[in-house]
Amino acid sequence: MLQLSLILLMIGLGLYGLATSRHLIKSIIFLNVLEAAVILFFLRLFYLPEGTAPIITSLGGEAVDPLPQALMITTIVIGASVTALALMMSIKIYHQYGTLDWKILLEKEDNQ
Amino acid sequence: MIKKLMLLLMFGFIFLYALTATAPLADSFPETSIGETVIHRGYDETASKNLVAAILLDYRLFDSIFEAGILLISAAGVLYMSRSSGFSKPFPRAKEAAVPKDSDSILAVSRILYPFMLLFGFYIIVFGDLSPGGGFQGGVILATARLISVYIPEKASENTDPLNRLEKILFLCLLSLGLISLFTRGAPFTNFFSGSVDPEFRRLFLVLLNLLIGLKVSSGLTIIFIRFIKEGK
Amino acid sequence: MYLILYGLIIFFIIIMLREKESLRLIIYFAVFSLLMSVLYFLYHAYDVALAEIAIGSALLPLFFIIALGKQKNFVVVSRVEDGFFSEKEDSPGFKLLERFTNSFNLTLDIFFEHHMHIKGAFRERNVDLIIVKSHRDGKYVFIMKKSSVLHHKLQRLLLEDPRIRFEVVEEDEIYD
Repeated sequence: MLQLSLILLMIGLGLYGLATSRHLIKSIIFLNVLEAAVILFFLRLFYLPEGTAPIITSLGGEAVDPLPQALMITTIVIGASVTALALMMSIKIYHQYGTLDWKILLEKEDNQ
Repeated sequence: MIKKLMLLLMFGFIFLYALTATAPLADSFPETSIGETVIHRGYDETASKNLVAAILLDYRLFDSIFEAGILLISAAGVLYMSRSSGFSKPFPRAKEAAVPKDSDSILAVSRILYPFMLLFGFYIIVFGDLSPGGGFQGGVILATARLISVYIPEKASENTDPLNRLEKILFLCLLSLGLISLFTRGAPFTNFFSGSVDPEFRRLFLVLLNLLIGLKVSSGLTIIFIRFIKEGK
Repeated sequence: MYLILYGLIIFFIIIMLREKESLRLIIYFAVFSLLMSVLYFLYHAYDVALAEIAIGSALLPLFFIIALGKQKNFVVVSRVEDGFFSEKEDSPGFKLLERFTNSFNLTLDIFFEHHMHIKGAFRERNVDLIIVKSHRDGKYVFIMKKSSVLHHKLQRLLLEDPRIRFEVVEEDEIYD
């Protein structure tokens, strides 16, 4: 219970950082933080304290559910490609506007 | 200040709501029925000891192939954005900026590390069905090894076109490898050996698939990386 | 064990929230990813931990650092190309600018355009500094925009040089 609430706190902090950061790079970083926290939430939910990893060995024991883990690997790979695309966009935005500050960027957008 | 306070209040409310919603889940240890099936029958059906790889490479192979396709799309997007003239720098560059030289110790360490990283990446890829790992993870490690090789002057090549072509060809290979089972077993996107064959032979399909996915992921990430470095030059 | 890791992770998130400098932020993010992957490992998700440690703490920080490195250019457009300021590395103007950019860790980009329109150049083309030669007193005029943080520092550096006059303009009304 305590662990789940701490993970929810992480998700909340990630959302807060995403909403309040003024620097574009910082926003992208907090998007990744949020994603990692959500992955942790799913893994914690399907965690058996006395279980083993979902790999068949001679040791035996009850394995953890492998389905959420397979989905989370998909999430990580897609998150990496989204981040790469977002970073390229940030470079282009910097070259065109000369700043990465959300506030100044929005002002420039309004002026045009 | 008021804005931040409101935001904090809002997130606090969401946090409390999520807490009450997830409280009954904390001690119940839920298990999906699919997961149970995979644990009990996974090795017999897919010949993969790593059950996560069994799901990724057999049960939902269709999804995995197009997940690799997303990386292709991302690399294409980066290529497009870095080449498009509408956004790029308005002036021709008159003089190369003075780039500080890399230190000798970095160069020496990367020379030693480079083959070991390649070895580790291929190990992770090839043994992806027996131990933790697989195409995606090994591909990322291979890409990281390529990033290190940028520091080695005689290995650095900056042309992304062959890599781009390689990635497309590998994606088509993946698709066709997934479709072979349509002719041998009558069902697409699964192992092309039937279930009665020895698992040691059926592993071949998984190793091939892992290799293709690994090479594809590493070439896609390398394209993205080289475009990042070359951007603005 | 778990609680220490959770505490460390939340501590790093809060540090990241308060951090203003981007390079340090990226290093904290790499550490955060490392701790996260340890937690994934403890939850018996070895594959996810391997993916997170390879992507989150090796590949993405590198991408972030490269993207950040691309955003530290100092773009100079010059209308003059003579003994004082030219492509040659020993011309005094070039040396001055190089000293300035080296002390602030910037990459110097110089373009020579003899017939450029200065009007709107700062806003549309992301130029940091324009160099013109004045017809009245023969001085070299360095034009910077007022919103740039660097103009005070460059002005202090150039104050002693008698050949240079310094001008600061508002972003939208450019002197021509």
